Amino acid sequence: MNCKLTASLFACFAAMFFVGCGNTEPASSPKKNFTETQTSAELTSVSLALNWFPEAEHGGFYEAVVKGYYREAGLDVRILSGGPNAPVLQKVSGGSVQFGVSTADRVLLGRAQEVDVVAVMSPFQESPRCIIVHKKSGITKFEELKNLTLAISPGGTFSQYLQKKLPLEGVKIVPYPGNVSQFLLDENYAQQAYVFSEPFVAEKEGGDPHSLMASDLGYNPYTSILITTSKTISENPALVQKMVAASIRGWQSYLENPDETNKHINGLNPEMGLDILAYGVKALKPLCITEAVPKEQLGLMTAERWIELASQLVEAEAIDSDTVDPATAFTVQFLNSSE
Amino acid sequence: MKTKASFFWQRVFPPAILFGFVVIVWQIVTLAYDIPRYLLPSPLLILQAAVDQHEQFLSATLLTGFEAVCGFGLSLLIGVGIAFAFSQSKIIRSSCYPYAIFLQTVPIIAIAPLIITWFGTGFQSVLLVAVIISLFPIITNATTGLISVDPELENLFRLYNASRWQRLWKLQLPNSVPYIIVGAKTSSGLAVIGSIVGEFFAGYQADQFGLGYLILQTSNQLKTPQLFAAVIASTLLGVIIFGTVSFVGSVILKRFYALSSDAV
Amino acid sequence: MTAAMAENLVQANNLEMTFPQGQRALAAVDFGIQQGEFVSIVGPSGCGKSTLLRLIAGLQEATAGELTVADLNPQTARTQSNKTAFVFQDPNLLPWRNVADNIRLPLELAGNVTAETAADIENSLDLIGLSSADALKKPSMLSGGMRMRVSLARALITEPNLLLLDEPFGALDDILRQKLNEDLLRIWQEQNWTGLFVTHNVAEAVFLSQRIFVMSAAPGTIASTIEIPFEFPRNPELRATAEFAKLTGEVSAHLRGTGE
Repeated sequence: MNCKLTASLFACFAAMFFVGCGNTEPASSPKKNFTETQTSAELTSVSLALNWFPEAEHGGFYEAVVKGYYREAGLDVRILSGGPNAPVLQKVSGGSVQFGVSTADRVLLGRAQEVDVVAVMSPFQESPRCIIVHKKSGITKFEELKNLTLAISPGGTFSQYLQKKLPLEGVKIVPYPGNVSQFLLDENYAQQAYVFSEPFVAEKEGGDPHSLMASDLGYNPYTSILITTSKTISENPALVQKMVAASIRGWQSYLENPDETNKHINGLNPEMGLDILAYGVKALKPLCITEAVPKEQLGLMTAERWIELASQLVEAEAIDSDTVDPATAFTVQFLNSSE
Repeated sequence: MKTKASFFWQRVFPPAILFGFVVIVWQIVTLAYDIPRYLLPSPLLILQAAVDQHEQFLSATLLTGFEAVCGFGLSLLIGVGIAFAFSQSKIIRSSCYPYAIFLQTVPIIAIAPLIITWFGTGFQSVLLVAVIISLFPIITNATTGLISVDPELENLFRLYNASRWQRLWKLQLPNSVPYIIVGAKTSSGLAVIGSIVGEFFAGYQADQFGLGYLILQTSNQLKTPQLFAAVIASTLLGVIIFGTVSFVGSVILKRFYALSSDAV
Repeated sequence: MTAAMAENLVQANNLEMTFPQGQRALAAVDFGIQQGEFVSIVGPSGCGKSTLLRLIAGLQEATAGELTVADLNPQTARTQSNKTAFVFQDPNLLPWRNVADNIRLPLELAGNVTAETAADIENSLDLIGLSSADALKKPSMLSGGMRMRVSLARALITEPNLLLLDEPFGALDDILRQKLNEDLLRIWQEQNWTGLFVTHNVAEAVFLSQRIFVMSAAPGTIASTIEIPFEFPRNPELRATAEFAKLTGEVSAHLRGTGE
């Protein structure tokens, strides 16, 4: 019996060791790009890893590709689609991609585990994270979530925060299935969602979703943020500068005229119909451009928000206190340059 | 004749030494190369993670263990029952056996979500997944044991005009026990895997979850020390259940079949 | 050994056995065996002697000819009266049962276990020369000779009329075989069953039987019958006598003559 344990430990160790070795490619060896023409000699190849399948929440980045903003800045950006459990943080930290899209809570989680990622820009000011319930259920407040099935990502920080903050009597927690099919079938079902996505799809299929915004509970992490490593920031700040500036341009443009990029996204991810995307853009515009943060300042992040999020994560026991200094998790040095 | 001392030096000491060696090398490597903890945590970190949250790990292990034991027990019952049917009729055997093989080859990761949709999240679905994954070795070994009887023993029973039921109960079934034990050992480990996979998809009550859920959660949150601890706990659980089944099996073999434990 | 007018217990007329694949194992086999006789069958390998024994036991059915046991079809004789017993070449014990339970098996299968059964088993252990301590041992703990004794005891527990033995002592050494031969004869004399003993050991056949059937090579038939006139009880010293040697020689000659 001891032999079995030892052998499996050894195998585990060996596997992780090789994975670890494989993941430490230096950031200066960018992925070869396939799609460019003779002018590639002037463009720097960069990869951007998404945290989900292409959606409206990535619109600004795609806009910068489609409208050529990245190319104008001298960057040849390849956007890599993500999905469930996309290892964005590992890829960025390990160096196989230069940039990634993630959320602020995951950045803090990662940094608590010695993952080297830093947020450089946030298109969203208000989190689109919500819980959708059936209108029939009459639930209008988080405190009223009782006696139902709640589908939420295992280990999602919002999930943990909810469980700490709310009694959740008789609530059975199940893994988030990635779609609304179970929501439509079961009246006693609620699930996590993004306000510009699942509610629209559910309504389209005849459902009666009602969104409870996470920000109403005070939980408001920056979303769809652009991340990179502190190593890249210190060794190649010009690159990061160009990336941030072009991305901001992309977002500003996308929120006004999304149609061309939406077609592009629809081509990449046919499940995202043009109608969903159009609705999505309309829904997320007020989350990105607010009274406090006008269009010219799109991408802004403040220390207060990061500090508040960090203490919420400590409260939710997602991270231990004093393992993360929120100030090191983000930087605004690349914002506010005129572009 | 094995004395207690020689048992220790031959069977326990070498693996223990190897284990200690691996752990020490691992610790040194993570320190020397400054490997970040989310990639490969050191043994000390893993131990610390396990100790810090030992209540959680313990209750998760107990829950998954309970599912696995129930799944295994159910597999044993159902598997031997199906084997009985297979052994009694060639027609049943040849028409149904290929579908038993299906149990072996179906990718459980693909089937589990379907099971959840049909039977709902919760204990019954996790149990079902565990049973599906661990059923085949029982069926196949029990069937072989029931039909592979020495033809001369069959003649003996025929000579004494034994009825079908007497043949089944006094000849086929005792003959099949060593085979069933072999199948049970394989099946017990599979039941643990099945429980964990089932938990991946089934979730649980807000305050009650098993190792599968823990694995998903810690993996999602990049809490690799805790992930390793959960994986090790799962491995240990499998080893304990396998070891218990093995032990019970050799006791049965020794007592009823007078086979020494080296024979199996 | 009563008057010759006793009806034959086993009677074969023109018996034939052809296997489904076409091999002819037996052809034109004729013989009669009286109640209480001890008869041996000797013959070269492959002559069908084991097959003949199985036909008499009703384990297989002859393809042609007549074969009766107590005037009945052998299968019927076996199922109705349960008075045919068989000792196989291999002891054929159930490995998961101890000696006593193995001996009890035929009674269990017939539903004949009574309050006296335990005592009967004790007696049979005595008969075959095993102790009560041995009764609890499993077959894997016994020697080859002891296992064969248990097999014999099992065959005798139902008090059979007809005991068929298929080279039971073939795997044992000479000394042990001779001892078991003597024990077998002693038991036969006590219990008065009819014995049909297949062997390829001529000396064994001569020692044990009243008559010897010599079979020819396949397709087997009874080539000759040799009377063995020695009186009972037969002592071990018998083997050393000139008479014995002469008869052994005679049987061997017949055997050689019938071999391919």
